[in-house]
Amino acid sequence: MSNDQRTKAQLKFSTEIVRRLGEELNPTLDKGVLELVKNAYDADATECRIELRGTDQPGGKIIVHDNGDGMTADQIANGWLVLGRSSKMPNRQTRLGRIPAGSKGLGRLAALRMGRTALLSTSSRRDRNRRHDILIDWDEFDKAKIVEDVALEITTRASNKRFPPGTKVVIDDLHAGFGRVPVKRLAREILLLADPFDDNPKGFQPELLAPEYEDLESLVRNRYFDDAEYHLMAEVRTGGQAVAQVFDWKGKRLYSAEHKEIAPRRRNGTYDCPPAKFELWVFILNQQAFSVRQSSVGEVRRWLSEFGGVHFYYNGLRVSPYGGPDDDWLGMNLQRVRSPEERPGTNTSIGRIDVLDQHSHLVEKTDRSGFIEDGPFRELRTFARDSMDWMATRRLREAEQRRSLARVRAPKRSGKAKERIQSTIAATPKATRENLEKAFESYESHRDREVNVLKKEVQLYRTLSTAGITAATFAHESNANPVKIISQSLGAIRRRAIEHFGELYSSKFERPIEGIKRAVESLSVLSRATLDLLDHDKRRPSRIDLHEVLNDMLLTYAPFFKGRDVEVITSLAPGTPFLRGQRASVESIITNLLTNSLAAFEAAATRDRVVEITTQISNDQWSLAISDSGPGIVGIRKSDIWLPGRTTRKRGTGLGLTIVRDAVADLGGSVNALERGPHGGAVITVHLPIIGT
Amino acid sequence: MITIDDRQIRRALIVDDEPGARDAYEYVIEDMGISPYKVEDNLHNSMHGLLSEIQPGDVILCDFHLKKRDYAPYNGDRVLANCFQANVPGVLCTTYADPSIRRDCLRYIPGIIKTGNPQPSDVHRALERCVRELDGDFQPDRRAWRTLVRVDDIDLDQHCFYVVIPAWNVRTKVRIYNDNVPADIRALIEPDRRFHAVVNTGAERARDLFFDDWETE
Repeated sequence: MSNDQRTKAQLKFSTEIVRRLGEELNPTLDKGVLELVKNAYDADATECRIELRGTDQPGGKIIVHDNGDGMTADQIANGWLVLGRSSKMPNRQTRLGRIPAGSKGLGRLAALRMGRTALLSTSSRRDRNRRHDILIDWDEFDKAKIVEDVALEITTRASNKRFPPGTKVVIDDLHAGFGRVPVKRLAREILLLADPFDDNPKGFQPELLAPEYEDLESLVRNRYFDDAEYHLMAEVRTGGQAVAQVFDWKGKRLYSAEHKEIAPRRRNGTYDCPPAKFELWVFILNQQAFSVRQSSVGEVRRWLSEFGGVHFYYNGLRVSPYGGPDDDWLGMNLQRVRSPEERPGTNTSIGRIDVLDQHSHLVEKTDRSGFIEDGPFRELRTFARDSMDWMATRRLREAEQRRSLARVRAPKRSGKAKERIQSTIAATPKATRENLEKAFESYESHRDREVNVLKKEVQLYRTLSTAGITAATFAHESNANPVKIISQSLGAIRRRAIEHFGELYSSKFERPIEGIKRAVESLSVLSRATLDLLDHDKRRPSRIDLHEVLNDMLLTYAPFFKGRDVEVITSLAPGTPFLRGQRASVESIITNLLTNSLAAFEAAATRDRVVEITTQISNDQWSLAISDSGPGIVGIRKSDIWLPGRTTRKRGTGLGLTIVRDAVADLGGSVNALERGPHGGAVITVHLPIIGT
Repeated sequence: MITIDDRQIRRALIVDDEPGARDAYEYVIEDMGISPYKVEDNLHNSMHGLLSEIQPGDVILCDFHLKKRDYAPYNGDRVLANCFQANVPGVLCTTYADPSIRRDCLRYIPGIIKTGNPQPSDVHRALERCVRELDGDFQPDRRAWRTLVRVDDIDLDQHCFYVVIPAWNVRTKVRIYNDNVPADIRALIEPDRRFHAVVNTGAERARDLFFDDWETE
């Protein structure tokens, strides 16, 4: 028989551990208080008041008071007081459908340890006739050896009166004082938990009371709405007429519109939907716009990434999923891709539509996942989109006016700046003045040269654009009518001449008729090539099969080559190399290089005209080399051929190779030239990164 | 007079807004052995006016562009689709694959030729194709199937949207102009929206695809 004696024992924690934990977690004010605010959020509070009294000095007080679900004595003892374990299930949503934000209770310990005492008062929603209080005096812990030696007491007060549910935590006699920075961080973090609009009865509405920092109080109250660059307020009234206004960030009205201007394309006139108000706050998220604001771009961006988009309120209640994460029911982001400057996206704006639908025009889906997208809902969406379109148009118009004005003002401003520099130089001692004057003169002459080059380039692009528009109009016109009539009539002459004259046709008529036929073919290629370039689809980014584009272009150009006695040799690498980009860019590169060769032949009256087109694929790169038997690069420095306006040909634009260089750069590639290649003329080699073959 | 698949063709109505072009088409029709009838009066009154001129044994040869002059309020695709539905064979003449042919009309335009230099044999072949479709005989590339159509992207500036037809080619986006679909469908167009439509999924090229009989999913 065994004589072993058994004594029960358990692991005990020294109060030192609690002290060290508190010190090592060393919370800043924002982290500590935020933990308590998160507890309020997780308890489904709709209101939460955070009071900071004298916290800029040691000895201050923090009070966090919410109207959430509160706790029973059991929940305090087995949940709130248990450190390191959370009774919250992170994947389970709360009663109000929130995803728990708090952590494992250690954060709470750190928060509570910020002061000398922490007092908890709470009343559970489940049992509102009782209120529980517990005071933690940390000095008691410092005096005791182990944690269990400090007895904590939950005082429960029962009453016939019902206590309001919720929890209040008071941390008193703070060990340290906190400055403005942590309070600001706290304000920002609170905003990420708060419902963006303060009239959602289920939303979380925190309130910050910090008398020392009134601006931060107001930030929590007003969110970041005051930092919006534009505020659109549109309304569709009973009867379907819409009105809209846009305000700037100072609240000044910029534009307003009546129904006709907002809905110019509507045939039936009015919107067939219940009355609704649409508000949208649009932010310009760059440093320049925020240089005069209280908030920083980063914090607003974070807030918008959380709450951006247009939310939907139906008879005062918010309806999901509109404006929720990843929901872009108005297609804002798609529009923004096309014109980012004038269009708001869900990450750069926040808005709401309030619909007052007394006659139930909108029908909610049975699974409550939004509305059935029938007539009235679509009309409502069209109204919202039309309002945004109107705002975009007005902003575009304004931007254009600004650009025109800047063009007028710029010379005046630079003139004044020049005068200032000259007077500053004049005030310097004579010894340095001369050097400064010379340096400034030299700078000025270089700058003038640069401005002149740019002016010429702009003018050249404008002229070429006009030439392009004229060519396209001509191409449409000539291809549709004169060319068609010549060609068909010629066909009739040919058919009838063969029938009528028999053998006499081939000896007397065939050659002139075939001559006209070839000429007409060239003419129609000219129009086709021009119109082909203008296809809108070619300017959309998409997968581009490089060899397919090359072969298409060579086919289009075949009659040109034939008409100019040019032999074309092609040697394409096996495979179908492709990249993602705009087909128009690749076509610009090929067109300009081929046109260059043709022009070189003509200028130098080259005999034996050969253009060789070679492609190679290596290491995710596609290379296209176009070499010809022209005169090569002569009469111009090789490095200058890429410069705009530089040409060796009379009446040349000097833009072809500049466009090649720019288009290649757009596609992430490089281009180089060789003065004389295997056929005696220039070789231009383009390298483009590809995605696959 | 000529005969195509038991159908006797006596006269061809020539529709083009350019008088010189009507003359040019006249030569081809004459050389086919059909009697030409140039539609000189403008078509502004109604489509019905044109259709009422049609007699048994008539076909129609119609240019695509009819609006450059004060001639018609619509293009040739609309004319031919109406004729086809009235059991009148027709041929549409276009400069080259014209991207603006309406995709809803395309279903009823089996015969398209290039305006460049059409020969009597080209017009004959196009008419043959049309007559066969009127008799219910479709080539694989023109057979209509009810299929899923997914909206990939919309382009408000260009008044068009892009769709993907999984049964045709999952990688190619096909452009459709907004006015080519019925107004009730147009109002529902948004990215990722799925519809059913009748499409010739046997077509080789995107530009030959027609879309008709749209349904919401």
